Amino acid sequence: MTTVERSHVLEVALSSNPHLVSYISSELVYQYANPTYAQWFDLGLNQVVGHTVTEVLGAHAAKELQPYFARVLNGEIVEFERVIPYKHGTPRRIHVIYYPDKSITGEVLGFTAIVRDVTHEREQEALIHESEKRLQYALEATGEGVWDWHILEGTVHHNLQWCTILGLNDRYLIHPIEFFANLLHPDDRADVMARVQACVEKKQPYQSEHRMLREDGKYIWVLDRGKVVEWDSDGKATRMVGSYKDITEKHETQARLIQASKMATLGEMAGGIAHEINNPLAIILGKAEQLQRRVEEQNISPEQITQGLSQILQTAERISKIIKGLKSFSRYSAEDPFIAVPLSQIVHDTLELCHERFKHHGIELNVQGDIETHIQCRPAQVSQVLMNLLNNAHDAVEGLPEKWVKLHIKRAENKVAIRVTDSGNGIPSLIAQKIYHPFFTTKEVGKGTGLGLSISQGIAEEHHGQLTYDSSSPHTCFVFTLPVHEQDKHG
Amino acid sequence: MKSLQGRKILIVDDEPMLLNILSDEFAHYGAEVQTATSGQAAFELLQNSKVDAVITDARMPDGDGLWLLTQLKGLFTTLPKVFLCTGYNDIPAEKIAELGIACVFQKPFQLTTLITTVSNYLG
Repeated sequence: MTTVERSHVLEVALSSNPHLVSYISSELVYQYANPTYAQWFDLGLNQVVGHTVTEVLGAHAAKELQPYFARVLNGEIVEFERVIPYKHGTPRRIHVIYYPDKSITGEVLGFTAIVRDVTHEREQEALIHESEKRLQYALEATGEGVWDWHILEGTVHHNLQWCTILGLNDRYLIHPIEFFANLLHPDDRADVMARVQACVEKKQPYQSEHRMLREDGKYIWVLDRGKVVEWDSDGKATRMVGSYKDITEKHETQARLIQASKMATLGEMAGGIAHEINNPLAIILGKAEQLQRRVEEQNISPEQITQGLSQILQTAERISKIIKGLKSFSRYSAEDPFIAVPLSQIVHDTLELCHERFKHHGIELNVQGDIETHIQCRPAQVSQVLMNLLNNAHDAVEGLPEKWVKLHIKRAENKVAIRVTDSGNGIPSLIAQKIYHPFFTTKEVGKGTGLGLSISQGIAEEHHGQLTYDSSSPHTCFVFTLPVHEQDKHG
Repeated sequence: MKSLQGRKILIVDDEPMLLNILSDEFAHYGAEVQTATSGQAAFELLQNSKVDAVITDARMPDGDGLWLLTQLKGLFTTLPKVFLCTGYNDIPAEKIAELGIACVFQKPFQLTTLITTVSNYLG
């Protein structure tokens, strides 16, 4: 490179440099300043070059910088960052390097100063730091554990809270996705992984309530939510982020509420159940009394005795069935395993408990449809939902001239819809909006808790089903939809 | 206990077994027993026959006992004695008086008590 060329490069590099470059003599007089320098102070170059640092920067700033000048003039390279109160404009945070310019003899003739304004940069960093802190505080406050799944690598990264919820230490901040799958309750695993897969493939948000194994061997209930945030050029998901929280306590409260609401329902049904038992009891006592008298009068054949006794046994069996039904309905069922049963079994067990009440009030009760469909469920809870819908229908039509309730079961693909329709003319839309609110009821005090539908909806969701009000039906109609059990699918 | 010999008694209940037991028992004591399994069936039966007593269940799907009793005034000049058997205890006293019910039997009841009471009322 020629001297001319080198001078050109130097000229361009200095004049277009975003940093402030200057050369200051040992007497602290500016010998050179690049255009950026002058612009930064809003001065002309002639107001800088030939002037002392005190004149350009102000006495206050010059005094602040004095120790660094002393060091560089002593032959040392000096680097520092600090806020300087310039006489022009507001104080700035600057990053500075002073390079001493030494003669062959080692005498310091002056120094080159390279100054970078880092005010904005530091402000940005502070903002990011603040925002990170805020996010962290918020996550701590809500108790959410964060996960970040790098799909291609197959690893999941977490915050510490994720580990803490499960009683794990920070060794688990990063782990393979299989580790997560293994922590899931065996009964929930297939469903959770299917939801994750659906999120990855169909770009729908992921949400799941399921059980996870805590370090102490207990299962906790969690609410887990997430979404895909990054895709590759082919549109394949590469990263999924989300958070989860411990909802065990909420689950336990809900389980207790389900139980309480069930007991309230039983209370409302008590009259009908008493009759259901008193009738067969009247038969048993009557038959026994009759047999006793005839035996005493020696006016009976062995065949007649056998026949009478078999009637007693048969009738006692009726009572025993009702008691069994009551026991299974009232027992705590929130932790029951999900099992495959035909819908007919649940429907019969439920009707056993309430058909007398319908008969008592002259309400026609009719069941039809694909009743043999198998569903995977907690039978006692499905029965609770049906009982609730039947009781509501009962109460709604009790005072009407036309009194009927229909239970219609229809299988469609992998779902089965149980429609409970009554002879009423539907629910006014203002009321329909509120029917799922806990404690909302239109029944008189003592007749309903207002928990039935909200709890039934909770049960339906836990079964991955739905409970909806069909406002398009001419009669009042609720639809309880449940997934069909695997063995019945495509069948 | 007074005799039930020759007394015409109609028993109405939707439980066939209970109906059998009661009819056997009243027949044993000499009553002429007719049976019906609903209020409606009993009402039709009473169009052509006169009875001394009606023993009916309260709640039945097809025309209940209370309805049947309200129809009696239109059917008879001399009303039969009426008895009500029920598994419920929610029938108000005024209703019982209004329908002229002689006695209410709460299910389950003793056969002997029922027979004795009915025969005493008829005697």
